[in-house]
Amino acid sequence: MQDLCYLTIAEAAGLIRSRKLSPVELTKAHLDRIAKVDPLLRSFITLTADVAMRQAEEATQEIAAGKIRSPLHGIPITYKDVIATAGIRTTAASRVYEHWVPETDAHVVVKLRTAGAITLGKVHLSEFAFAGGATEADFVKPARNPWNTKYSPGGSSSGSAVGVAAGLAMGSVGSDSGGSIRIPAAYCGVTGLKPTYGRVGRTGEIPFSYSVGHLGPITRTVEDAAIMLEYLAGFDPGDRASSKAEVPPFSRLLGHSLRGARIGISPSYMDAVGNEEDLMSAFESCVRVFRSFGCTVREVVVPHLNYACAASYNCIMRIEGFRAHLENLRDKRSLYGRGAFRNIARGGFLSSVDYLRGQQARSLISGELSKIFEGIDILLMPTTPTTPSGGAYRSKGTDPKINRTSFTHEAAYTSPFNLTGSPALSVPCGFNSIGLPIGIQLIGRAFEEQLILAAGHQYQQVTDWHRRRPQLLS
Amino acid sequence: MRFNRRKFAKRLAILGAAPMAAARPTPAARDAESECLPIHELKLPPDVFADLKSYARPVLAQARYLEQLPLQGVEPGFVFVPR
Repeated sequence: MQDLCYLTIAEAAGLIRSRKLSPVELTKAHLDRIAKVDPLLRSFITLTADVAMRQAEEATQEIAAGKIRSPLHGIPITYKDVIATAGIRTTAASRVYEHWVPETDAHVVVKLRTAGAITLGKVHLSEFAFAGGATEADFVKPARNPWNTKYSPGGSSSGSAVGVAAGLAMGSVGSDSGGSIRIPAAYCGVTGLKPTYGRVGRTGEIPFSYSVGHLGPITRTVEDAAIMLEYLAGFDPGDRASSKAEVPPFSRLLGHSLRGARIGISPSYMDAVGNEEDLMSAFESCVRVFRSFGCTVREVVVPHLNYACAASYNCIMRIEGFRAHLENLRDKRSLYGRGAFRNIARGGFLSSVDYLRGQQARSLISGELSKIFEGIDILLMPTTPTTPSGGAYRSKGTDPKINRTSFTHEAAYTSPFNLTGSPALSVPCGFNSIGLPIGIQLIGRAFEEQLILAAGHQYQQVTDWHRRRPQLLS
Repeated sequence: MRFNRRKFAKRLAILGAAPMAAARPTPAARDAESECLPIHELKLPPDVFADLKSYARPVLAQARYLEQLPLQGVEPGFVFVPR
């Protein structure tokens, strides 16, 4: 049997179902690997080995008695440490919450526990999922990229992506207000899905941004993301934005034919952003793969997309984040890391007019994107304009709002779809010249995750980027 | 008195740029506006406030870009109603 820690969720579920593998064996293998590898990678904030082993024993007994709850039954996973876990401290990587032990589980934890998933622990993020790059001075030291520990794993769901890439967990639940699932997924060579706004309930998440915040899975394969989404999705009565839309059986729709599917690419937006050469080459190869599936590829222009970062990342998210933190910023300032305090507090210089203008821009740009989606089925973009190491640029970017001189550059391809609420999937699509992963992003219509998941899955059937493992750990 | 567009235009031309200049925020007006900003709720010491104000400049510059958008009559989209 191959290394248990690098089985996919789908493979492990099959072995568990046929009694060739027990949740206890699988969980123990992960805990052993975490003990060996995580001191280097620092992906865990709180490891819950006892909880995990107790849950694994219960799962093993249930399965032996013939009760298999779901494909996640007995599967070891982690949660970004902004997601409340009853009886397990939940810190948001901040001293403000250093000793907080929630009494109840977040909605997503209840959903995954009911499906039988095993909780390995709580994983790293940049402070409050918004501190920008984590630093050694933070309350918890930053996680490291398993492909090269000198480089950032991306953020803010850094521990989720690092752990999945390094074989420390089979999946993780992250959060994404501007790219925080997709950016670390791309930097660590794993798969990350930001579902449609409203698809996954957020009750129990330490709040940051009400109208651009999402929860979603980080896994090694698209198939595993589809499995996790099936059990994460569904109405959450505690979340006013939660949708009652039917949850399709995503993992059973992955074979949907792509012949004739219309793929949109936006060279004008990519020119405006500016990109690394290695990343552009990987993007072009990816487009060729989709053409080989029988997809048609056409160029599209979303007229005001280059204002989306300003609206989403810099107005809406910052003002909502400032409000979410107002009392703590005022009363517990000394408990914030310097970077987190400054980054969150500076949102307080934006006015109510700025906020409303941001929300008007949301209407404008969402309407334009909807129009574009009348002529295409999937929008294809890089996940990030650069790799964490940086490298030679093919183009520097033509628009000062978002090009490499702007601090919003990293989120240039992700943040727009927090604004529009569109589902967006990042999958590995290559490596740069020094061996760091590159991601590509598939964006779909609202509540049509099934199409981007099918496209991502079929891409992974003919490529092996998602099967490569960080060599330094072997 | 009925509004006379021609007279109004003529008067504007005589006044030249004066009305426009008055419409721009004067330093005093900007100060008054800034007193309403949420940052004041934090009651920060002056040195911390000054540091943050400087650190906020790129964010404010980003926000100003939105003034270029054709938003007249566009309803805010904050009520994002999921299906």
